[in-house]
Amino acid sequence: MARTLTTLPEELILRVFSHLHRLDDLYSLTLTNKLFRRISHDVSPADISRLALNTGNFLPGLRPYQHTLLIPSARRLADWAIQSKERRDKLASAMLSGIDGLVAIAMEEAPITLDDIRKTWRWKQAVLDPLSQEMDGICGRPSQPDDFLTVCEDPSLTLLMWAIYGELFHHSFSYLYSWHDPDHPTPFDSIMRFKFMVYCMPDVNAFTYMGLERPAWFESMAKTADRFQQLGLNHATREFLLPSLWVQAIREVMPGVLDDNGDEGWGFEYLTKDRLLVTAVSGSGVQALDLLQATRSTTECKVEPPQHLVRWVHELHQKIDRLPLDESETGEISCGTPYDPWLEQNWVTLPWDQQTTLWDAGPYSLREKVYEEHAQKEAWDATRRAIGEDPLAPSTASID
Amino acid sequence: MASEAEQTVKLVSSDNVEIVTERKVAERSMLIKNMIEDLGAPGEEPIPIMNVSEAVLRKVLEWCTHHKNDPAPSQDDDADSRKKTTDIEDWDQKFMQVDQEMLFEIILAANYMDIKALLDVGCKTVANMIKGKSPEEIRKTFNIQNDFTPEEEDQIRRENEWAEDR
Repeated sequence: MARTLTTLPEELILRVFSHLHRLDDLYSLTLTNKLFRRISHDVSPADISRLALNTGNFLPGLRPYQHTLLIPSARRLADWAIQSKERRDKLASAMLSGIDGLVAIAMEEAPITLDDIRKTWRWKQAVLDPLSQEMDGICGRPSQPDDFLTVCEDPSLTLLMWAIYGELFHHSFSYLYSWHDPDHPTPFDSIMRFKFMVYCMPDVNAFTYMGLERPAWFESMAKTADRFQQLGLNHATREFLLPSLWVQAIREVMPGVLDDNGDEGWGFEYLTKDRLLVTAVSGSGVQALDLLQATRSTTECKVEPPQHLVRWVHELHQKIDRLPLDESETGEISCGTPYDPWLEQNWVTLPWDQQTTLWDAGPYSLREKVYEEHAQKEAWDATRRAIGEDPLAPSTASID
Repeated sequence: MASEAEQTVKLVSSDNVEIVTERKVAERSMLIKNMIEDLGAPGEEPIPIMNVSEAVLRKVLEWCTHHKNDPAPSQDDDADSRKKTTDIEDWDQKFMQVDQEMLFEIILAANYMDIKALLDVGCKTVANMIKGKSPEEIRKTFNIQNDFTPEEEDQIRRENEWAEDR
């Protein structure tokens, strides 16, 4: 019998599959015959992730490609990295290469499956695209060309970053209401979040305000992508992604909770249970956008929101409700304070982090801290030189 | 007694043809290397390569001769997906310019004889033949029958809308 590809043992056909170039090659094979379809189910997540990385923009349905790959993997990447200092350092270091570095480490340490890709595509169609369209109408490109600095140039990218931030820093959000649990891991420190903001959501203004040299990859990236990604997010958080949006969504699935404070009442000057619930829900990554889309559809089409989302919000509310209350009349609560060299407290929201990295205008002055740290390092280097030692590393203007 | 570099071994193909080759060349095959170590007296006892015909064995030994001085592969290489590339060096590309039947026989022989680097070159060659092709083109290239019903094909396309959304 003449030897053909289909007469090879299945383990060898699988080996051929593991050497393919791109995901669309694998997909073509699954459509070739039943044998190849069956074998395609056995391709390892490591190989699927390598193919996904190589595929780039050959699959327009998954654009913006790199960010979309982080949707199924960012939470798992965080769970991997949180486990040791070495891994945290590796993640922080990968972020310095921007979104490409983050996706590369995600595909390496939190590989994805074909099923992840299928679910992500469906999520993009059902949740991300309609929300992007709505957001585009509210804060997308204006008719006046001179307003270009105050628009959200790429709503889809902005919403993806919102989701990725929530997934990647989910330990920081859950810590806000689980700080008393001895098994809860210490979240990433704020410098990790700032690195994510500056390098993975790069903005020409952020580099300037932070006093950071723009990496070489930013210049080439900026030729094809939005150079004002944080500025776009800033606009989106002022026009669309407001706390009141989630207040409304929470009320849809849990009528009777949260006072109607409008947007003014959610300034987060101090922590209350209501504010904590809104922050925890809005910061829950993919699920936050799921809730938003589900409840907005509810308003328009009178469809009940999915039960898993209702249960999730109820459980979160119960957890937060059980937290000890302060005696003060304001209802202020304690949220615990893990050691963080950059912050006085551990309150976390994306708009605050972004205000810090874009304008140095959040609740903490990052530039001041960077300069302070920088000055300390220079003093230390000078001391080492004075005693005849080489400084460990040249001082650089990067937050690492 | 001949030094290890000068030693030869006798291999016997599945069609009973004896082929004498340098020990170093033959030892690119982990199967043969282990057999030599077990037998303890290389060159005296013919080593049967039961699943490989003379034509294929000669072709495999041609590859082993060219690569006899390559460093031994590390254990990690096989498991590390990140190191996988689809690049094939020029000599190997020319070596693999054979008809499909021989190509698949080489892959089978490399697997049986445990020559990982040759197995990878073979698999990469096939992967390169698949690159950028539609299902119909793949069927045509490898003479494969489409055994899906139209309904089954539709079902697969529905399951994989991410790939159809172009």
